[in-house]
Amino acid sequence: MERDSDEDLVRRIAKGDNLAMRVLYARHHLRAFRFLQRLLKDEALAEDALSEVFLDVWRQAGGFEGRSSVGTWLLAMARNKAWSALRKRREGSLDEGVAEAMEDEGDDPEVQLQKSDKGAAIRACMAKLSPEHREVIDLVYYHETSVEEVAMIVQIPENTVKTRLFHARKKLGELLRDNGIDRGWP
Amino acid sequence: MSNASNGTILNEAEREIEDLLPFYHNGRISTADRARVEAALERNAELRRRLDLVAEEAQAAIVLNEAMSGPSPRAFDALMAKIEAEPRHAAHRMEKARLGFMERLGGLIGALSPRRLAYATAAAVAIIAAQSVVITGLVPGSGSGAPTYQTASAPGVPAQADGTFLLVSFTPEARAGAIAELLRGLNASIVEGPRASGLYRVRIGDRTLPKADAERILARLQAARDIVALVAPDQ
Repeated sequence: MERDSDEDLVRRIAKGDNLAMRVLYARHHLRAFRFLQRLLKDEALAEDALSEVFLDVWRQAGGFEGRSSVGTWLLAMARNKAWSALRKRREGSLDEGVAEAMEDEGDDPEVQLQKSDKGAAIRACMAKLSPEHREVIDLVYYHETSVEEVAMIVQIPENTVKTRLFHARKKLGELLRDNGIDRGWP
Repeated sequence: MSNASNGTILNEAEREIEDLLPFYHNGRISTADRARVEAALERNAELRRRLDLVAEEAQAAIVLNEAMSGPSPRAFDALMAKIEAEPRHAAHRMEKARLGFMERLGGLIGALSPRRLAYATAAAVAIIAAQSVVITGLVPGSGSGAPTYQTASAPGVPAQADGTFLLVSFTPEARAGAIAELLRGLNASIVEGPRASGLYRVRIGDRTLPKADAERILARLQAARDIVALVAPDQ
């Protein structure tokens, strides 16, 4: 079982194999959870969404056609769950949406404190990017996805992937510069 | 067209290459594009500098993600409860779980790609550097010279071979006192670490424990989410 490919596991899950489900969860739940948590910034919501993602795997395994890797398929489902939860949250509280937009701006004491540690400053600014920018940054840098995979997960054209990543990186550079860290770009 | 504050301006062709740099860095790029990027990097110092910026950003993203703990067992339990309730697989409802925590968690470490593992390693070293100094004090006999084991800060000293062991990493926020109390409550002790991946080897028994006992201890460690980031069997 440990040596079964992800695709083998999904085929077994489609037949109702509970054990295969557990192995697939063990392999992928951490990455999916981190992706969800970075988007939602809420651990409880991320856990709920994680359960829903894997429940969809259980329900939809028979329809998996292998046009993407299982990992990409899972991230795409996770992304849909996260954005659905974000939309609900925004509808529930307009103020929160405004607050999130405002997070991007201004001098930040946390970043100021991190000036002596460039890596920490980059992380602090990265955490302040919009969800759209956070997801593309995480998908490429942490989840190591290709242009085609990001396009599939985020459901945007491949050229838009590059443009969005460029703007996310540009925004990051601007946030750093606004907080006194000039990397010479943008 | 983008320009650097130092006045370096990239032309359109170079901008295209710049857009490929994150994918060149993460290794998810076609052979043809890789060749284009490498040729451009060879002749363009500004692109090389921007690749360094990409590397900085990638490292930051990895550290951010790796610093997050995993979901609580509640998420898995909720999932399994829902699956059991699913009508489509009613015939399988009676199938009992044959895997315990040990198997569930066993694939975690192996799931990391070499690149991410390398960054995670660097990240872990950065994050736990200060923590490991403190944790060193938790190793039985540290400073006394009596035991035959020490932390990774004393490499080359053999850890005890007998017993049951787990690999554990602690959250960056975990306080030494809390770690000590947790381990004391389980009659466990750190015998080695941190390894390059930030994991400590923790002995949970002087002999090979029955699987159920080991799983119980592993579950208790996993439940201490404020303290323990990851726990896995050390086979």
